[in-house]
Amino acid sequence: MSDELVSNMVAKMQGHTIVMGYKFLGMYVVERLREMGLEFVVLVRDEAQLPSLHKEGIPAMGSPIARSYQALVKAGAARASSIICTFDDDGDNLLTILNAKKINPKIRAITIVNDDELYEAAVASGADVVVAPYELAGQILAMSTVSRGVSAVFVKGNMKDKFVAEFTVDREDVAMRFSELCRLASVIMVLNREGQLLPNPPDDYTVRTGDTIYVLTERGELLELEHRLAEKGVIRLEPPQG
Amino acid sequence: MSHRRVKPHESFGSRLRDTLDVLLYGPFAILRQIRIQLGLIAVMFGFGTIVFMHYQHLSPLAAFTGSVSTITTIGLYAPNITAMPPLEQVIMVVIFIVSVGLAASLVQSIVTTAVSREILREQLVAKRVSRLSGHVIVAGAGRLAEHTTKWLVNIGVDHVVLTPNRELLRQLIHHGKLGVYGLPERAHEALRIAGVSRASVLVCVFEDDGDNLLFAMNARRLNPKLRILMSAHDKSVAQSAQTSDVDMTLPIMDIVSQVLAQASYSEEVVGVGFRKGVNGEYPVYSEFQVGSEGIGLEELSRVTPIIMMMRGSQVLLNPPPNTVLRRGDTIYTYTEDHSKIRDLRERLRRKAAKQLGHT
Repeated sequence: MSDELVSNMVAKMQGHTIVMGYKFLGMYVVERLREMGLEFVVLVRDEAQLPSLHKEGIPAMGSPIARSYQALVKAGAARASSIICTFDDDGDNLLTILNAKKINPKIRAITIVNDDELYEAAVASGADVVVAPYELAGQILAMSTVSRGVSAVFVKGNMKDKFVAEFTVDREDVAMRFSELCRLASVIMVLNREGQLLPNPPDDYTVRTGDTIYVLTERGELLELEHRLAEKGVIRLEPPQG
Repeated sequence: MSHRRVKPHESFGSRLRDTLDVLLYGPFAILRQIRIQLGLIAVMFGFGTIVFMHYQHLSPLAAFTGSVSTITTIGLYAPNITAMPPLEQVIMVVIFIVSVGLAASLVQSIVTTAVSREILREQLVAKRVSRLSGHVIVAGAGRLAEHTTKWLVNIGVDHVVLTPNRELLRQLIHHGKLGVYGLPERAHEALRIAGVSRASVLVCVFEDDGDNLLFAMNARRLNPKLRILMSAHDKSVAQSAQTSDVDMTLPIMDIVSQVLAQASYSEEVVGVGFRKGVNGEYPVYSEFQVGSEGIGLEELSRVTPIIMMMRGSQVLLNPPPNTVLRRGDTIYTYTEDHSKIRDLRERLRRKAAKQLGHT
């Protein structure tokens, strides 16, 4: 894939996604966009990355900081539907959003912020979705030190900062009515022993050993929830270590 | 799961122990800083004793008293210099010069240690760490270490930060937190100082996945029962770590990429799971605003699982299938397949457009 070919490809793109940066995060975003069958172009600060990207068949262009605006124009920001900023430098990400919104006010701007204190600044710059990876990961890891159950976290919307905890019913011979279980915990779904996901099981569904329950919970409630489930003989708590 | 959230530094007994540490262990900490100088001065005393025994024919105790008296310039014993053999004079001059240098160095070290309280604080922190049990060790140096620590403080879990970053360590100790210094290449020793044998969980959050693996492997050897959590930038490292010594690996960038890629496609994604679902993908949770009246939940559930809904400020978990949605309701879905989000959005949009057309 040559530079000329990439330029021609990009010139024909419409409603595509622009991915800024190609380290681990940019690379994985590209993998997912490919899986989703979406059109995209990658912009990298370091032009030395271009030959290897072209070799992999990834449409990529150089975007040195001094020519950031021009690079976005060349990448078809005016026709793009979204832009995903994955640079390590938050300043670069914010600058990119400002430029992209100037070119195309309707573009959907998605960015990471490495310093979570810049969250508001990113929103003020026009970002539609802001994800703080280190904040998110720190939260997950910290919660996981006290519970093995934490399995998902809400990052925005009405449920922001709530968790989903996942518990496998590991006590022997458990047979509990779903309605009874719901009195113990805010169960949102059950993955039964056969691997079938039951989002809204009927009240008379019997939760048995080997099923996995998904519970909506909050940070301060997690430990109490685990203990409640253990006391009622649903799950097993491991003995304290250390 | 360890439910123990012991906070030894918050109990009265611990506060008392901390105070005693400052009183008793503090001076000892200073002594540790000047132990080399003290050792060399002792050597000088011994050397002087031998010199006096040999040249002045004194008994060992008298020679030792003479040596201490001369080197400390007290002057209880003053042999006649003119009667001394030349070699003894040369040796005495060397002893005096070395001893004066050592004394100056000793005074400087004591003053530095006492004035700069960092060394003393580090020693006291090490002492407090040695009393912890069932604690969490956070090994790392960058932003993720800071965020993990912040959340551990929020949820009230006792922890020690093990870091090769001197500046981070200084800040931690300055703010009264527990931290110990340790380099990845000396992971074994660093973990031992952090009390790994008594800890319940180790969280490895270095920027370098290799450092995380190094700490994880060393920790497993030191405490086979330890629960080890690890972050990984490279998802292939995360996969291989999961099959080795690590209990939970968090492939941060892989998970975040799921949120970002989905967000480029739909604005409804609000949450992400970090355990792969039945289809081997990270599941996403989406939030949809209902813009139409009368749509049945059962109909929408055929598109993708609807796990809960919100009506006003009330969260309704497991809404029955015959629920009829109203305008303004919010529904939540769980899916690993992005196309389901699109399908549901289209279904809701068409319904809303149809109703708008009718009115």
